[in-house]
Parts: sequence; C-alpha cells; structure tokens
Amino acid sequence: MIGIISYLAFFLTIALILAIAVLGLNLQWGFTGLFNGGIVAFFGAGAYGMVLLGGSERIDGFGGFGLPYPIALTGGIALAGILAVLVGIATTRLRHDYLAIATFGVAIALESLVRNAEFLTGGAKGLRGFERPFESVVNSNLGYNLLFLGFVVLCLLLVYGFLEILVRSPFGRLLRAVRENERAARALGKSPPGIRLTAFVLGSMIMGLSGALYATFYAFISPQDLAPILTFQIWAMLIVGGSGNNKGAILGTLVVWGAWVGSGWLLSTLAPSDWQLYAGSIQYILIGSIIVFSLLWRPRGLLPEKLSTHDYSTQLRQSTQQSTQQTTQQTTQQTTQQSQEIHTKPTEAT
Amino acid sequence: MTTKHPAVFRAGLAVNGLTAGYIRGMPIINDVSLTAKHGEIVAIIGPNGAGKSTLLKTIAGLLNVESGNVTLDGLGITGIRPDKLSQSGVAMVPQLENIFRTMSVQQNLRLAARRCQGQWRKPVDEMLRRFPMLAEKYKVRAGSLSGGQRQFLAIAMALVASPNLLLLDEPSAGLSPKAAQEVLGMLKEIARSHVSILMVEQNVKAALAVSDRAYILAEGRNQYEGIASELLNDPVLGQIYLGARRTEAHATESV
Amino acid sequence: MLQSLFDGILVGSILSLGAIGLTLIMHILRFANFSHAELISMGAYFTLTLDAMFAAISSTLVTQLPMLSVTISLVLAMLFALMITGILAATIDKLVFKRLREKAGPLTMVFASFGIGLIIRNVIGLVYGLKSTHYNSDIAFAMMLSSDPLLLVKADQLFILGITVVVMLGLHLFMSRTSVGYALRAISENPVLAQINGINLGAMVRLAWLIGGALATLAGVCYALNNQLSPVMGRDLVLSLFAAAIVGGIGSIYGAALGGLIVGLAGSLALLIIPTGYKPAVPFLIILLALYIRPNGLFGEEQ
Repeated sequence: MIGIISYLAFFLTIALILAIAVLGLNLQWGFTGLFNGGIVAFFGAGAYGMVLLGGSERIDGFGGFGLPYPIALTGGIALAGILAVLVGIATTRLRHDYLAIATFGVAIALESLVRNAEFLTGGAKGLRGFERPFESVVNSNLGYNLLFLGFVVLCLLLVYGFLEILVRSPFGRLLRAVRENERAARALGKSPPGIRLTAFVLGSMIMGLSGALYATFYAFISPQDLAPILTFQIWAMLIVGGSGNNKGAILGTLVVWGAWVGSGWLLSTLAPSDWQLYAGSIQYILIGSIIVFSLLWRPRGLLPEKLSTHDYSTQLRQSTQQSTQQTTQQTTQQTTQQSQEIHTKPTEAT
Repeated sequence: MTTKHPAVFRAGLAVNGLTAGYIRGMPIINDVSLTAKHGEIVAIIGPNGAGKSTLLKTIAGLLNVESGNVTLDGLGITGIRPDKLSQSGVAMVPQLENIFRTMSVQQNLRLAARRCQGQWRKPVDEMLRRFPMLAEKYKVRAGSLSGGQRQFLAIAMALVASPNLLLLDEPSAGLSPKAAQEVLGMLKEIARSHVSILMVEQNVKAALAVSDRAYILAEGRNQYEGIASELLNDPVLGQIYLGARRTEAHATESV
Repeated sequence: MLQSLFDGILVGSILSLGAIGLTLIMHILRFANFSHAELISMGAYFTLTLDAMFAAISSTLVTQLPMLSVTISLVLAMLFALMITGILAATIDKLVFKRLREKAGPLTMVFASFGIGLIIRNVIGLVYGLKSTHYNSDIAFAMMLSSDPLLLVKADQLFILGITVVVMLGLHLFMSRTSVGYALRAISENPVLAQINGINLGAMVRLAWLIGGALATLAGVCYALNNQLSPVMGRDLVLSLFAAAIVGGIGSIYGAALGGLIVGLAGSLALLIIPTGYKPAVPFLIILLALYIRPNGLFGEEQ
C-alpha cells in the first residue's frame, strides 16, 4: 500500500512539475501564438540557476552559494527569463518560424555549454550537493515526498491562478487582439513585438520554475536532463490537452506522461532483452506520432491561428499586402480624400 | 491558346451575385454583378476599400467564392485554379508586383508564354513587335525598368497568350500622366481584337474617358452603373464617393 | 589553418547541398522544416541499402572508381536513392504538411515537422541499428598535398567537392536557362503573379520537394563518406542547415550555397579557438548574430 502511494506521489510530482512547464508553453503558444522550439533550455536554465545559487559550496567550480531556497528559486527563474530576453529580442519582430529556430538553437547551445563548461556547470557529471529545503526537518522519505508534492501543487495552483488573471487582464485582451488579428495588425504597422516578447519571457520564466522544481526534487541536475526529448514531450502534452486552455494543459500532461511512463514500463517488461536497447526509439516514435496524428485529426487542440479562421492555402494564393488595404480605417481616411479629387483634376501620379 | 467558340457563345464575362473575400465568413464583396462583352472596356470605380481589387482577384481565381458565380463565354469559371484559368484565356495585370523583378524582360515574357502550350517563341516575338521598347530592353533585369516600362511589360505578359478576358488592377497607378495616357490608350487597341477588358481604376476621369461602360462599387457592393461618357457628369458619382448615397444590403440599383 | 579552411569548405559544401532544398521550401511554403535534415539521413541510408543490393546482384559493380573508395554500385545506389528520397519527401508533404496548411497555418507545419523528424530518425534507428556505420570499411588514407602549411586530403573528399561543384553548376543552369527553372523561381519570388501567369503552384511545390530530397541525398552520401552514417546524422546537421539558409537569405538558392560555405568555414575555424565540445553552439551563435544584424540574410527579400 505504502509502495503504491509512494509511487503515485512520485508520478504525480513529476507530472505536475511538467504541467507547470506546459502552462508556460500555453501562455506562449495558446495565448500568443509563439512557437518555442527549445523549451528544455528554459527549463534547464531554471534548474541550473537554482542549483548554482542554492547548492552547497563546490570545491572545484563556480556556484554553490548556499543561498536560501526562495532566493535560489527566484534566481533560477530569472536566469530563464534572461535567456528568453536574449532570444526573444532577436526574433519576436521577425517571421514566426525564426523564433522556433532560435529557441531550438538555444537549447542545443545550452546543452553543449552545460556539458562542457565543467567549472561553471559541472560538465557531464552534473551538479550535486543540493540540499532540499526542509529535508532535515521531515524524517520519513514518504512524508517528505508527500510534502514536496504538496508544494508542487501549490506552485501549480499559483501559476494557474496567475495565468487565469492575466488572461482576463487588459494585457490578456491585448494578447488576444494581437494573436487574432496578427496579419491585419502587422500590415497596418501595429505589430506589438513588445507584447509578444513579454508573453514569451513570462512563459519561459514559468518553464524555469518548472525546471528548478525538478532539480529540487532530484537534488541533482545534469546535461542528460536537458535532452531535446523534453521539448517534444511538453509539446505533446499541450496538443493533447488542447491549447488556449489551462485546464486542458494539465490534463494533457497527465495523459501524455502516463502514456510515456506506461509505455516505458510495458517495453521493459514485455519486450525481449535484446530489444531493450530500442525501447527509447520506440518511445520517441510514440511521442512523434502523438504529435503528428493529433495535429492531423484533432487540430482544434492546437491552433490559435484557427481562431482567425484564415485559410492558409488562400493566403498562399494571394498577397497579404494588398488584402489589408481594404480595412475600414484606411477607407474612411481616403474616401474623403478621394471625393475631393473627383471633381477637380485627374490625380497626378507621383 | 484561347478556345474559339461560335459567335453566339461569345457573350464575354458575366459575374452574378458574387460574394467573396480572403477570410471565410468575412466577405469583402457582397452580391456583386457585372458584365463585360467582347471588345468592351468596362471600368470599375469607387472609393478605396470598395473591394474592387478583391473582385478582380476573385474572377482570376485567387480567392474563395462564398456564393455567386462567374462565367466566361457561357462557361462557368468559378472556383477554377488561377493557373488553369490563365490557360483558358483569362489574363490579369495586378497592381503592384506585376513583373518578376529578378528576371530579365525576356525571361518574364518567356515565363508568361509558358501557358501557350509549348509554343513560346512566336507569341513572345509578337509582343516584342508590339512593344518595341521592350525589345530594346530585352535582356535587362525587369526590376531596373522604369515604372512605365514595367507596366508595359506586365501588360505584354498578360497579352502574350492571346487572352479573351483581360483584368487590369489600376493600370495607370504610379505612372506619369503621359505614360498613363499611353497605357490607357493601348487598351482601346486591345479591345478592338475582341478582348473583354475589365479595369479597376482610381483615376476616374481617365478611366471613364477610355471605357465604354462603368460600374461604381462601394463597401463591397454594386452602387451604380452606366455608360462611361454619361457617368462623367453624373452627380451620383460624387455622392457615392462622398458616402452620401449607398445601396442598402438588399436593394440593388439596376440599369 | 589551411587544413581548417579545407575542412570548412568541405563541410560547407555538404551543408550547401542540404540547405538549398531547405531554403526553397522555407520560402515557398513559409515554414521552417525541422525534418528536412532527416531527408539527409534517409538519402544516406537508402544509398547504403541499395549499394548492398547492387553489390549482391553483380560483383563487377563493386569496382572502385580510380583512387576513391567509392564503387560504381555506390554511385548507382546514390542515383536511385536520390529519386526515392525526392519522391518520399513529396509524399510526406502530401500526406501531412499539405493537409495541415489547408486546415491551419504555417506554425502547425513546423510543429508537425518536429514530430515527423522524431519519427523518421527513430525508425532509421530501429531498422538500421543505433551504431554508426560506413559505406566502405576500408580505411581511406589521406594524401599529403602540402606539408607546411599542413594539408591532408582524402581522395573521397575531392570527390565530394567535385559532386558539389557539378550539382551547383547543374542547378544554376536549370534555374537560369530552363522553362521549369524560371517557373520555380517565379513561384519563389511571387506566387500570386506566377499563378496568374499559368504556373501550377501545386506542381512547383512538388518539384521543390523532389529537388530538396535529391539534394539532401547527395548531402547525406557526401557526409557519410566524409564522416559516417548514423541515425542522428540529420539531427546533428539541422541547426547548421538553418544557419546556412538564414545567412544566405531565405529563398535564395545562391544564398543557401554561400551560407553553407560560411557556416562550414565558421565552424571549422572556430575549432581553432574553442574546445570541440562547444562546436554545436556555433551555428546557434551564427543564427543569433544574423537575426540581430541582418535578418534577411545576404540575398533574401524583405518579408
């Protein structure tokens, strides 16, 4: 019995930690239409930031300042935010897939940095020596895990509440306006990259929180935790759950994480031993397939752009420049101009 | 090449109750109807945002039609792909970006003549004969031509496949008065070879001077129509432009 | 230094081949295809299989070309593989990406491409195994073309450069002299104008995928000759390919070719200064730099 509770607590803790990251992604994609191709970078920045600040002193490296947990946590979140600013400023005013490429790149670059900069990050060995908050106070292992689960639930609720408030705020309305009228807004010169940047950074910071909690739970972080597969898993969770919808995001997390853990267990028990090597590949194909098939057959789960019901293939067939010249604002301006010219000379060409 | 129908079917262009736009459910033109017979030059005028360009693009097959239809010489052409339409005698000269800047005059014409079923040389030579200034600049990059020359190239590209319907979106836009005159004057000559010409124009006087008939569009709907020479002095024109007079959604003026 | 330059140009040529297809698709369909690099892997592995098949059919085909490790069967295999990969690329588009762009928008395609890439990579791993392999297990010796400054060159590497030059030339002629080449350029430059001038958008899109797949195969074979075959070979090249396309300007074939060389050289020269472990970060830095300084790249148009 204790075993089951213990396992369930473990499963839920990880699932809900990941759910926080999915909420962050939902802010970026579901509310703002931004494609983050390197979620794991911000997750990792939060994790490493927190461990470096809050861990015990390192003999042969930077960090380990042993700062109090809340400060270390905030530091990790801030690091994720800084990374997001760096990438976001370059890309939020450009075509959307540049952000996808840049974030994908930052994840690769960060993983490479973390793996090699032994002094800074402990290299491939990772960072240990992190003392979990209140660990010395609680005696039983199970007790602590339950306590920590409670803490994670609290964080999740806080993030959820924050996002719900944000969506209903003026900022949230602005986000929706930008997302739904993206093309029109852009052609009218009203593209507000600042708003998108803010949403991107906030979302990334939430991912950083998730990473920091993850590192707290394991009291350890290493480059293995920054493997690209995490980005795909978080995306799959969001798609399955339905984006733009925070509740759906959490649900999706549980479903996909359950499928991941379940498939892993199935493969390890059922598959013959010489297949075990390929278990990972099979799981990756599973995630990839979830992504592709959900997109093909449940697109409603994913498309903020669908809300503007634009027909993309029509867009390919005509030019967007000219389409938005017909908006009413310009109409009223120029109609009055026009009427004055009709009965005078023919319009002089410039 | 164009299909040769018996004279009784050469009714020209007919647009019936066309409703279309860029985004489904948000049409820009509503219930628009017009005709343009062979050899006629028909102008479409109206204030900005009236949907005139949208109308042309819809006829050319570039946009989705929500309701209504378009026929050419009695054959329905609604919903046909733009490239297929251009092979069946429909040619369009868009307003902006109407030539391929990175390619030479020769390459532009050759490209436009691809739809002539493999026989590009003769039609291209014919265009060069008709537009001598293009022959001069044959190898020049189209992007470095002057505004007027580009416009002639765009028209040549439209004519190279001997269309029976020519759609022009503001052919005189951005041109000097002289070049504008030349372009519009050329249209009269083109019409004489039995091409239907449908032209959107901002330069109302010049448009009405060269056209046979005109339709006035505003807010995506038919507002008025008439013989071009009569419309020039009709006060209705000014009223529509100023917005003092607009048709309601269900009451359409018909002549 | 000279060796680094040579290595850089070599890697750069391989990147150029891969980036050309990527830049065309990115421009015409307006989406960043994260699975394009898997076409490189597929091309390389199909060649491996076909090579084994041809070798089994006739032992005369196993003769190596003079001085190279490349056999006639490998060349034949590559030619068949490039057709197969091209067709497969167009098919994936038809089954997945085309449906998505009709129902939704470009970002959904980007996202699907992540998933497709994941699937292809791992299927290759399941089919061919996770270990890296080579076309030819013999060790190829390098020739010392110069001792000071040191320049070691393998004959296969010259073959790679040769292929790249021939292909680039062929592409150039195709784009500048054939009717189909003009049509492709036209669709790339102005899809609306191209269509009203009688060019079939769907056909050109298919052509872009065919070309992309074929070039990716060549890139894959060259990469495998120079390094090795592994299921993750595509994934490791993705970022560099994007860097090449962005630096050159999305949509420009010449840009992608030049961009590939630049990225290849940058990576190679960077190794003179930074430890090897950091190499994966170099393309990212190039991308960031390009996006900050000149987002349209060298030859790109304003978007």
